[in-house]
Amino acid sequence: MIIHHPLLGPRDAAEFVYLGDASLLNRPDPAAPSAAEDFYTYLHLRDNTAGEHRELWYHEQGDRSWLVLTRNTLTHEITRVELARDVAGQAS
Amino acid sequence: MDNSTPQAELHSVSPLGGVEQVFSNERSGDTVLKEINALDIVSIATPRGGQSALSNLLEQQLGVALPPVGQVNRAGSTVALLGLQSDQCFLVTTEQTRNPVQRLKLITGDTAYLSDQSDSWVVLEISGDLSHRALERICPIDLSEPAFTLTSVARTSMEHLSVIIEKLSESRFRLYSPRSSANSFLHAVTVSINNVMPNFLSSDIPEEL
Repeated sequence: MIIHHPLLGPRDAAEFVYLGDASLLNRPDPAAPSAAEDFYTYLHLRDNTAGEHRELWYHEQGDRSWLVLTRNTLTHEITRVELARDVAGQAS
Repeated sequence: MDNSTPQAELHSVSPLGGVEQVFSNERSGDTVLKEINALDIVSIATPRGGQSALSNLLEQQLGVALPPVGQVNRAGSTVALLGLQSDQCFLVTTEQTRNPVQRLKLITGDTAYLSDQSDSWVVLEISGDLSHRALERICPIDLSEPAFTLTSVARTSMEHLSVIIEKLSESRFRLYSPRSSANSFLHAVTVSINNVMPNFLSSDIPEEL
């Protein structure tokens, strides 16, 4: 599998480490009244998507960047690759 | 202190003892694999938003600007800046000094975070007719033009070992790998060269490797 890194171009998937659902970027507010419930959901509940899925990958044997990949879990087609720092910047 | 005690003399030892191997037979030209020593390597990390201030200082004082990720900026044959990742690059220079960080800090001041990497890497240079063919078996990067040019640098892995690869000419590459696994890395490259040698015999691999 080839991952098209936004800065480096096509790279072998063997250079990367998979972390999981990109929703991990959206850490709940620990001061919110619903914090306990929010963190329970954040840590333990995941959508088991059949289709388009956004997920975190780390370029460990490369430039050490975190990426957000949009991947189809049925076909393994990767339709979008973004730097996680850009995605997190948009969210805040 | 007892003045009669002889002072110990300390000698620096390179990761592979300055190894140099020539691979040749009648069906191919020489392919040379040698360890490169006498380099100062300093990691330069940039504070967020501080790229242009640092780049200007480096360009004024060293004649090289900060490179984008994946690119090398060189000043002659003595200084190179390797763009390895966002906000981080390596300065590689043949102008050695006792304290490379201290010297570079005179230029960069507080515009960068520096760490001395000189003794942390084994540096191998592979050159000759078979270098490209030997590397393409263990390197997942496309090393041919235009994907990988003379100003390209990449951090990748070969045989599960972390490697920084730089292209010095069409048939000459420089490889940096962690010093702690220097012998394993030498073994990986040596085996790959032997595997692409015409008329290769398994007995060609020295037993000590």
